[in-house]
Amino acid sequence: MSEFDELLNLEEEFYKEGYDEGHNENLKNNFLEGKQFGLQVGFQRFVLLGQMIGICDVLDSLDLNSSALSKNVQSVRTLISQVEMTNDDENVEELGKIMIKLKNKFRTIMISFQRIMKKEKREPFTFEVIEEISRIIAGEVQGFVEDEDVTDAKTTQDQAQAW
Amino acid sequence: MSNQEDILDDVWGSDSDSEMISNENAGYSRDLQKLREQHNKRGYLDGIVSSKEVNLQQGFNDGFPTGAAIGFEVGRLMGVLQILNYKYGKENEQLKKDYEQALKDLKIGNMLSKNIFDAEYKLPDDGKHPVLEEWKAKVSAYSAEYNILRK
Repeated sequence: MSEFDELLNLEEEFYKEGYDEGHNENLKNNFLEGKQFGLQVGFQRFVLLGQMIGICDVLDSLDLNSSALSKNVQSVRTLISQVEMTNDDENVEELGKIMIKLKNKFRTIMISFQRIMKKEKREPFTFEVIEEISRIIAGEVQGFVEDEDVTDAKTTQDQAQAW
Repeated sequence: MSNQEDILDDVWGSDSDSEMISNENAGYSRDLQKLREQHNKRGYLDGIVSSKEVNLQQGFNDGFPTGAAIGFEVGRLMGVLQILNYKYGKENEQLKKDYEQALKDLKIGNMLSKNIFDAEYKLPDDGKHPVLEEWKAKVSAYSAEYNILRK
């Protein structure tokens, strides 16, 4: 092998060595970037479901004497128990469908609750009030955008500060 | 991109020198070292921008369930507090205050803050989220006070 060939080999070897380091670093960074975004979207998708369960626990514990309300609370619990907390395609689709049913059920529940509470002469506690809390806690919900600058896809001031 | 510079500093730091020093010909070693630095750097820069998307989705799927579990629990606590505050907030000043504080403390920005997760976006060793634990305890106390059972 000529000195020239040897030099070329060395250059190639050093390049490869650098490339592998850079590539591994890149894979690691990408994984973490995705993970950060996954944490965020997972959080956002489940806040409202959690609120529903929390409110159901309280409604079941208060002695409200309404069989219609209890029945709807039970349906909400059943629907939520079907939800999987992973990001598989089928689960995401399923969650979308269940969410529509849940929101309708919950609206009905809050209307019944409102009727029972009427005598207390209070500002109404509607489903919209619950959704408003969800927005304050989770920011505007967004889907997973397959964009290389995912961390730039921020929606609220809070997230901008956090990330 | 100041971050990028730190990474580069690290890679071409002093630890790569050791194998060169043992070379008998000091002059050749310096040249070789220079050659290595030059081509290693070229490779590194190509490597760091390679296949940007490869691990993004895997990372997303890894983080999602943790985020979902935290979000769900935060939601549950807020749900209990919101309706208890609606029903008893007028007569229980502390409950009203805690509800308003929870609305600040449990926001996504605080809950997923970099101060809570480590560099790999993992929770502390015990897997527990400190802010969440604090609020779980507070809400449990209210649940006991008002006889709320968790199903």
